[in-house]
Amino acid sequence: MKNGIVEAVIASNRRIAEDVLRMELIYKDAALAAPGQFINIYLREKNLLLPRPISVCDAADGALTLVYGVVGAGTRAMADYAPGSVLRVGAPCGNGFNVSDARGFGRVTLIGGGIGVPPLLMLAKALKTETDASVRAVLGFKSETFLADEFRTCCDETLIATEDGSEGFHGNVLELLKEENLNPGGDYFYSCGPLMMLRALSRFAGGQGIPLQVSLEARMGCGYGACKACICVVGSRQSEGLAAETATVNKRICVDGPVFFGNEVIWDV
Amino acid sequence: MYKRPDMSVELCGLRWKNPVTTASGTFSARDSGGYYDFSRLGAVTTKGVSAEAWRGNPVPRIAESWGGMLNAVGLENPGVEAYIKEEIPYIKHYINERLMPGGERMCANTGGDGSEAGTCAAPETLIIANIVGKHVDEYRAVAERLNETDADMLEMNISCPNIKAGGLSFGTDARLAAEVTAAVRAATAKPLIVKLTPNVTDICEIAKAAEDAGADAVSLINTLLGMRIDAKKRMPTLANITGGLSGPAIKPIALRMVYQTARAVNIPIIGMGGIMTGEDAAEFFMAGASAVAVGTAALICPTAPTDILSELEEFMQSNGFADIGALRTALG
Ligand SMILES: Cc1cc2nc3c(=O)[nH]c(=O)nc-3n(C[C@H](O)[C@H](O)[C@H](O)COP(=O)(O)OP(=O)(O)OC[C@H]3O[C@@H](n4cnc5c(N)ncnc54)[C@H](O)[C@@H]3O)c2cc1C
Ligand SMILES: Cc1cc2nc3c(=O)[nH]c(=O)nc-3n(C[C@H](O)[C@H](O)[C@H](O)COP(=O)(O)O)c2cc1C
Ligand code: FES
Repeated sequence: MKNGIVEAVIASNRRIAEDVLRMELIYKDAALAAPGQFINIYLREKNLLLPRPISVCDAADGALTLVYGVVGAGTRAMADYAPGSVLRVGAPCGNGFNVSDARGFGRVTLIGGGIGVPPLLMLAKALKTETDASVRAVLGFKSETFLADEFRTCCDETLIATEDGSEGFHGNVLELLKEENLNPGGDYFYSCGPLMMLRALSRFAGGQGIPLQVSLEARMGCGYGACKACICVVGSRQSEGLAAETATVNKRICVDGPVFFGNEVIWDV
Repeated sequence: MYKRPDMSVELCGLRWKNPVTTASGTFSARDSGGYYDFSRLGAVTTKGVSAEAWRGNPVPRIAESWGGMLNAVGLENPGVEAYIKEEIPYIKHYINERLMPGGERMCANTGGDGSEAGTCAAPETLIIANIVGKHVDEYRAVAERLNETDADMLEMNISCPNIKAGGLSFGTDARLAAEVTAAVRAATAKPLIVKLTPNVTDICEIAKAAEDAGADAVSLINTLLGMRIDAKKRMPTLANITGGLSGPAIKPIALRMVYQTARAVNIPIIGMGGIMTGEDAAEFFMAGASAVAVGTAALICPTAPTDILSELEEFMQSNGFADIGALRTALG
């Protein structure tokens, strides 16, 4: 079978910001992971039945990096998993970011919000090697930043926004983008972050004719396409002649996504 | 060491090479088929299908609870025409590819006819089409439309707790259950399974009504109506507010209901509800089931249906059960 659950070994699992951890896994098929894909984590706790999807933050030969926020019982349990122990994980899942679509653009801007920042790191590296575009990261945090140095190493430009003004721009990423000197007009956008941010960004990009890919999330059941728990609604705003019911379709975020084009997502359902 | 047990069963005039199927709504041929070889199962049961496409409920559709999960998917499905055009042929093709003489995996671990793995005399994996409707005519229309297809059996979901207009009312009222069963019975020559809801006071009454109206088998249980509240956000966890509870938490209720129903009707029972291991499955046979379905376990671990089949075979072998019939009479 092409897909399976494998046992990966936790090489390290350490705190990189308040309630944010970085986990390195020894994982033999790591090189198969593409930017924007995620893996299902099968927790050890018998009472926490469902897999937890976590995006691939970086992948190298035989090693996978995940960065996750502690938001509930599952991620709290993960935070206690010791290096050297075994973790059951699924194969990299989903349709990740389409990198080649940005070819021909002079500059790509990656817009990340909070725990949506990690998958953009692997994307930044792929864009640097597979396109000629200059890569700019615009990263938003509540207060404490994480991964910023990694982005600074591989991006041409890295801008930080914090909601409390403790570092970089005081405000959110959208406000930062609208600052005159950022001129995102001819850019190609990729983004991952809270739904509200993606929705506002999609409106902004749409208004300026900037292409945008977004990575969405939803509560998942199976994480591999079997249960239809994780849907989003996509459609074409152009098909005005059609009834609303037929002009839009449900897509499963776990296998059809998690990455979609901003202008195909129906945000207000 | 005992001889390899005979896993085959006879249900509604059809031979199953083994008594394990998937529970409706937890199996997608294209996606599940990438994780395990579903042609090893006695049957596959597909997601509920209606006359026209249904969009289902808003998200979040899933919530976890201690030992189980709540779902309010809302029976999203592409409609019976798309099902006939895309799902059935895909399943058929998948099964045939693996049953071809000389095929690598063919019949491995199916047992049944006593033959060695690799010499394929066992029957093909059957297709059970699960059908839903908002009213009697819709059930009838879907059943009729499936007549000329490769679906081997029909399973009528009269028990889904999610759709306000239909589902619940049919399955919780003996008269309505009989009415819709009789209507579908008249519309199809295929073996008809009526899937019962546990959200009733007396499941035997509904099972008997289905039997009297012409059902060839009953399957139980569907999910138990429940809800969760996110206390921090001060709102229900599911967008639909309520949802169906499934998984290990419901197994004792499912077992009790299978046990009671087996003593109330003369038609076979497909048992389900929280089956996580081969030994769990054995308990359902001892309670009176003739076959079992694996649902939530497959969401938690994609290969669960075939894992559980192997575990059941192992359990039978090491505990001296020669066939499913022996399990079924174990309680005396
Ligand atoms: C494709 C995808 C990629 C993801 N990548 C990452 C990642 O790289 N790093 C990371 O930290 N998180 C990521 N997530 C979110 C992560 O899966 C959840 O935070 C995690 O499952 C929560 O588990 P828990 O048991 O700790 O929380 P729970 O106790 O289950 O929930 C705590 C809170 O988080 C919310 N929540 C839980 N799961 C989700 C979800 N899937 N989407 C939105 N809200 C949710 C719940 O509604 C609840 O309010 C991703 C989600 C998806 C769908
Ligand atoms: C996500 C999900 C979707 C389901 N969809 C259907 C469905 O379409 N039709 C149906 O008859 N039952 C449906 N069910 C119920 C299951 O088939 C099964 O009866 C129930 O979940 C109990 O078994 P389990 O504990 O093994 O999951 C669904 C269950 C789940 C968890
Ligand atoms: S989580 Fe089950 S289909 Fe996406």
